Amino acid sequence: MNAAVGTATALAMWLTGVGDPILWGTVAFLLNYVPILGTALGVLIFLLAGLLTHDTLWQALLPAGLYFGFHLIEGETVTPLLLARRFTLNPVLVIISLVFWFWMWGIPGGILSMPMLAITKIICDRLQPLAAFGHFLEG
Amino acid sequence: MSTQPFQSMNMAANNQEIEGVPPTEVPEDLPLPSDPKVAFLGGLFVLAVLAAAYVVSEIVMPLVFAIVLKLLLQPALRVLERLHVPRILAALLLILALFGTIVGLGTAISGPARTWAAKLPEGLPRLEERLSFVRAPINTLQRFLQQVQDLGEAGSPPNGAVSERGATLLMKLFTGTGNFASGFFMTVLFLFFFSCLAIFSFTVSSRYCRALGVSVRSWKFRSKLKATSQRIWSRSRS
Repeated sequence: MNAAVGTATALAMWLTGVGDPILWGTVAFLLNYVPILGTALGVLIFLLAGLLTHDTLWQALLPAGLYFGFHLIEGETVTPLLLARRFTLNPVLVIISLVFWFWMWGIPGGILSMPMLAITKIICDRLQPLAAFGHFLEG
Repeated sequence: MSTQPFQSMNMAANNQEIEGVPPTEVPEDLPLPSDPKVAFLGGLFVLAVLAAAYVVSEIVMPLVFAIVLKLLLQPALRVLERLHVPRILAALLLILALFGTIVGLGTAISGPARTWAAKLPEGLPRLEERLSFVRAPINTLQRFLQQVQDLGEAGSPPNGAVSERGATLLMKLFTGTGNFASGFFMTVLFLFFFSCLAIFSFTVSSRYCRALGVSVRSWKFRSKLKATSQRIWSRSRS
């Protein structure tokens, strides 16, 4: 899914004239691993890139809009249809976990925060005494 | 809003399903620990784990990375194993491919990233010009903050030296809130710690009493009996 978002964003950047599709595709691919905050940061980055590249306002807003559109299609439609009925995480806990692990371990902590939260949830779901906590993590 | 899941974890979950493990389902009854000691001890355990993860991050972090990489590469490893590639060779190939991809992508995007980083300071005036429509609300906010600051300075005691050195109303508000938050957090933490300690000591002491043959119930009964006899004695005296 992340690779698909990266590819689509790379194509969109190339078509909208921002250039450097590999760079923007990689940025979108990596940011898609970080829920909520990654998307917000991505929109900001693509907005800046659009403003720096194009003169007219609608052209400048197009890259960020397209990226946000891809994220909506992927995050709200495709992934829930395929996977997320089985696995969801509480958005508040996602942000808290991200901030906490980034504070504790720096950038590696930020990268590892989501996998660790997901692993914790899977373990809690499998153990009956921790099922309530797993349900809480699910949100 | 359901958060978008971490894809590798989904893959892991799918793999587990393939292996015959039933899919993750929310059980109908979600038992909560009836004994508060369990919750407190669980909390203590979590705190201890986090403290350990903070202190020995050099050891824990590579281990967590290894586990996550294993989960990420597991599906590809299965595919290679189905193609009769030996497990060790497949693992080596996958690790090489992963690091090759990272290095390749890094090399490919380092040039454009440098160009964009150089372009950003040049484009700042242009960005300011573009974002001029948000300047009016920002100016209004700044004016409001300045007024609040002036109000704070006017409200401070007339002593000039004190008012110069003293914090403004805004600063006082921020520092006051910050102090309150940190104090509250520390209080909660201490309360939690001491309640855990109390529960732990109670558990240990009751076990110790039981080991000595003194049950808590009999001790309570004796103390109650003693109190009743003392009350009767005092009434008879009066």
